Amino acid sequence: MKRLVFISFLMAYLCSSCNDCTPEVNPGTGLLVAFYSFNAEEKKYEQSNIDLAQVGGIANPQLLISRDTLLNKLALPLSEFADTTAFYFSYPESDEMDTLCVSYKRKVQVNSPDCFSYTEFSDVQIISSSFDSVFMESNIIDNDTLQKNNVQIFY
Amino acid sequence: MWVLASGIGLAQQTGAPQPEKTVEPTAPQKKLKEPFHWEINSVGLGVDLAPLVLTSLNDQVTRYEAYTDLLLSRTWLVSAAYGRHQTQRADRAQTFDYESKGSYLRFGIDYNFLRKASKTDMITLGLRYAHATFDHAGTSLIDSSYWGGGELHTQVNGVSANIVELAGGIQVNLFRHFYLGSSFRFMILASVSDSPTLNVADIPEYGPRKEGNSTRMGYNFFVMYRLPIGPRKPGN
Repeated sequence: MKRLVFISFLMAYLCSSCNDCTPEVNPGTGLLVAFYSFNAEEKKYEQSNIDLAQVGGIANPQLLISRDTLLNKLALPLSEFADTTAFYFSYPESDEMDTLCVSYKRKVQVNSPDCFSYTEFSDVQIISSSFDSVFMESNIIDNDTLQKNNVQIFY
Repeated sequence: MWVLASGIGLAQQTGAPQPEKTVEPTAPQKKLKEPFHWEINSVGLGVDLAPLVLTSLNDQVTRYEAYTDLLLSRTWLVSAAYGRHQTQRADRAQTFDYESKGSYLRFGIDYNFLRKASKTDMITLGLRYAHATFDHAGTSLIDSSYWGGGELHTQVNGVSANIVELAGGIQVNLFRHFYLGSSFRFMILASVSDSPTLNVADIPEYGPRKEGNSTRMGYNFFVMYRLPIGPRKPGN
């Protein structure tokens, strides 16, 4: 019986040294925005290219897009240091500017205690927008596996 | 020798006739079952050596546990334990630090399968319930290509967890009233309170927690003094 106690202790000690690190995907920080315009022939809105001159975060002098670009989809990086992020969009040969401001919940996810961590964004809400219309398609950020866009912008 | 034996045989044959003994048939005697009565046999006080060994080998983990139990009618062990737990961890790339600090209370009841076979040693199986309260914090090194880099510190206090356990163990008498015991515990993380900004990664009593997995094995290796109570009986 005494031997059994010591053997169990050795078994427990050997098992406790097992590594518990497992690989896991990082869902990323990008808010996926898709642009839609009205197709008069088909009489419906469809995803289409928008001509943008500059795109950037309002609190950041660095630009995400700095020259005329045609695109129908864009990933806007959310800040991990704040609960809201605002972006501006300017157009070529125009003084007009549109803005989009979103709020979200951040949670630091520990993959496993010995491995890396990442920030998980959820409950994304549109606080304000100057576009014609915006629609929240998905309020979680998952750049790896989610096939949906987060926000649809109608212009 | 042969002559002596023959002589005895002759004497028996020639002696007075013995009356035949008649054996009356009797009903097979039922072994009387001892009536079970409740009594407190002993109080045990001990410390868990497994966390102490872990603490001495790993400078990022500090754990202590004190243990007490009541042995009732040499059949039931009612136990309670109090422990403190502090864990600090960092990932391999040194981009994340995590710290969890708190305490736990654990109550349990065990059945002793050796109550008749041994006066001192025990093999037990039982159930435990543990409640842990703790604070935890994480510091992430953020390196965003657009928003820049920096440290993000997140702290959540007053988190609690409930753990249900199935435990099997043995206790052996070392000498006098000193006992050595070990037990394996299959732990089920029943619930964890909300921690809105930081995922709970390490829980006192339960240990490291993985997302999507709510079971884990635990181990105790304790030395204890068992103080006899009540009328002395052999072995108690």
